[in-house]
Amino acid sequence: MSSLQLFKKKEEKKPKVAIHSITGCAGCQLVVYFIRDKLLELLGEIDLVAAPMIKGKNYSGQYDICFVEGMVANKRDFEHLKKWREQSKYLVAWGTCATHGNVPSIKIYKDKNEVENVVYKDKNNLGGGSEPVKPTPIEKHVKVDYSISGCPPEEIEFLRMMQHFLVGMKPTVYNEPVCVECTLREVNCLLDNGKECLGPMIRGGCNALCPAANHSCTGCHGPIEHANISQTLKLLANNGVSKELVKQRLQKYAGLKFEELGAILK
Amino acid sequence: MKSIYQAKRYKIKDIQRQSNNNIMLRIKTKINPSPGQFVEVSIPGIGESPISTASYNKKILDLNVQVVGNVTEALAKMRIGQKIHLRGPYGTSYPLEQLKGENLILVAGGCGVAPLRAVIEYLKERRLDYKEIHLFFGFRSPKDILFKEEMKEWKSLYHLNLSVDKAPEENPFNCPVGFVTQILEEADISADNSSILLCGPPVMMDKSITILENKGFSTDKMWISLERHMKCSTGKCGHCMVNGKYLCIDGPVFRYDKVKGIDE
Amino acid sequence: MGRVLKKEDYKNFLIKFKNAGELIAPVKTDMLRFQKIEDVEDIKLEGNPFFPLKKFFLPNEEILLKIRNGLTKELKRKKSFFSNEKKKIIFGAKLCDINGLSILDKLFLDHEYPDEAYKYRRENIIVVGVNCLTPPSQHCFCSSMDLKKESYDLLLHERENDYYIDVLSETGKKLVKYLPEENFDYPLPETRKKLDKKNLWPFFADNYWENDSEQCVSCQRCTILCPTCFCFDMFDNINPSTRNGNRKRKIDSCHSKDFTKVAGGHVFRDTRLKQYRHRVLHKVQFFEDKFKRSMCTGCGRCIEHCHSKIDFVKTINEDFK
Repeated sequence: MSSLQLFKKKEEKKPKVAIHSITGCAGCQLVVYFIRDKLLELLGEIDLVAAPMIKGKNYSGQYDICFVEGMVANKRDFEHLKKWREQSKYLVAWGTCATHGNVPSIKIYKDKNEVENVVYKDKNNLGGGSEPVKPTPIEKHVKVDYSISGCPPEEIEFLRMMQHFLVGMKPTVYNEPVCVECTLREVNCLLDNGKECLGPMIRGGCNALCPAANHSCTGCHGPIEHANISQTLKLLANNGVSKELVKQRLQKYAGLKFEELGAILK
Repeated sequence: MKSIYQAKRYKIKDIQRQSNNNIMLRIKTKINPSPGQFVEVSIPGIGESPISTASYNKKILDLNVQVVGNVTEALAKMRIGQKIHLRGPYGTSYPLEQLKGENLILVAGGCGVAPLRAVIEYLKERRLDYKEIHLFFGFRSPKDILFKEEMKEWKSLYHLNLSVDKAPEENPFNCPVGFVTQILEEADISADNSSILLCGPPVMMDKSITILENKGFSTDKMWISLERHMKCSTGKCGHCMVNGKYLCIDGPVFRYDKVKGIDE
Repeated sequence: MGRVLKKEDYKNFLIKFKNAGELIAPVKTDMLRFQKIEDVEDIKLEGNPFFPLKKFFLPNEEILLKIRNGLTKELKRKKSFFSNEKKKIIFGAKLCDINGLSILDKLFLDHEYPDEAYKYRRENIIVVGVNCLTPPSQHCFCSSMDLKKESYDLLLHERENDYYIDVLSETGKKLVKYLPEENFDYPLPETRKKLDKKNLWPFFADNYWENDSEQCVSCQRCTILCPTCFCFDMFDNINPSTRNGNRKRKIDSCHSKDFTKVAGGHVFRDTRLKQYRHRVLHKVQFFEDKFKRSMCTGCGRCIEHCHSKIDFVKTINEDFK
């Protein structure tokens, strides 16, 4: 997008948007296609040039914005990702697989062969770039302009980002812990009541979906960068939550990031 | 009752490119701020941004916009004849009335020169009310010098000391290369019956103040302008508060001894 | 001059309120919250509601201006944003929350820049307080915060055989004019915990700030639940295709990382220590310097609901010497 979109003349082109996917469950893409009430309107403002999940004919030239879901689990993923990066002005990591590795990267903490033997019938004969590599989020491989985490991510965050792009702003992504929205919803604090809620160190944006349903936050959005990890772990320990459970929870969605932040030992 | 957040729409009369990332918007408006005050400029749909006023003129308001954020980037894409929203003016101003009969020393760096341009326009109309007027303006490089045309005029009317941090290419103003603080250090200025008006990056202001204090200037003769992101500009939202002082209503211009040593 | 309400008339007294408008009062489910009342039997007065009174006057998010046909076209204020709100009567607020309104009045009703929506709500929402006989929480320290008998329309004080109703406003007077008059100076609650008020400027660089802030997890509960924390963010929200939308404000917190961010990315209060110190000093020093009154009303929520139970009262009392 060269000029501010809202000043655009009628004949100026709409931004070319792509939604691509590598290894993952495709649930993040579905979030976008399920935005029933606003999707058609949004499609009037953008040119959805590539969305293999819902389109047969996909453009492979330059994109203005490319949303990528999933994480790099094999060589082919990496090749695709590299290509999309070259094609795109802005690359957005869409969903926790793309931003933090998510469930697929639990493999890192297991015995590699054991996992691969369960998944593949004949590991030695995969071919076509399907040979497994260390499962990692896309920011480990290419430059990511913006990240929206979530398993799945929230549609409101997608719409907000598109709104910002369309008016010519640098998108801002919600960057407060789960506790903020949880408190605003007047939820009875689970952490204060002895539960294993990870709220204080996890990025919100979900409007405290789980705590409001009396379910501890398990951290599907991954950590906020400025989280006070050591104190949150202390609070969990004070609640009698076992170290093993905390470790499992942290490894489930964003193990690599929590390792970097020193929350779990390598 | 009127909403204090309501902004009014005004037409852009002229846009002057000042440097790579500075533009000056000239706006036809009845808003007539005192030198040092600021206005909230907004583009509905994008947001608001506090911009210091760079003129003292009854009919045209000049705003020097440094392109750093969303609103300023959008402003940079606007064309003559388009409209923007303004509310204000807000905040305190340099107490020029009170400084009559004194020598004035204006020290600024980068886009900090903009609010002092308003001071200069004010002084121009009342030149005889003041004694010697020294200007110490520093920019990053010759390309970054703002108000290039006016600098020539200022040079003839006042003691202009223009400097650039570095001059990798040509240096059309032939100004000395070095920090403005160095020029200030070497300058022959007397603390006697003099007041200082400062505006610029925090590091530059701190250093200038130390130099001036060594030269015998007292802190109650220095007026500085501080920067924060004012969001409501009416002393409410809390974003610009530093140690109990709202920069939007108690500032942005402070007598230095009132804010000396304030820490976050 | 106040009024007297017999205990047996208490229920009818509340039903009268319910018929006069939308009655809001504390209700206990898993915890105590201000809620719209369907049955006056649900009202529970023991304890202090989780979320303070301020939300009815400064909602967590509200529309300030309407944007029509985006960008340069129109930015309009609409009175209907707030004036369509139903007439509310809030019953059961405690004096600490009510004093919180006095604090907010100082900022939002100031002469130069009065806030339209806040002013409207202050004039139209009826506040009926209830005096605490015993402090509802061990963290309460209001008796050291000079609470004033102000900013409510009516206030109930329970006595052995009846309620004494303190009347402050004309609106309040109309609501209770059928009750017999009495003159009585009701006592304020006495809390065990007290804040030892002192000049905190000499302790600005003290290490104890660090001890406390190291335990802070930046969850912002202290500011969200404070009856006097008012900071807000302003932002625009428009529909990209219709270009219509709103300029809104939303509750913000000085404990948020981006609170002091300026264009270009610099953050002025970039550490938890600076953020924590700013909050505490704003409550008990900065506001006091300016308005000769502490901004803290001693409700104790910021301590009670802190994940780490950071107690600034204890720090000030015991460590700043």
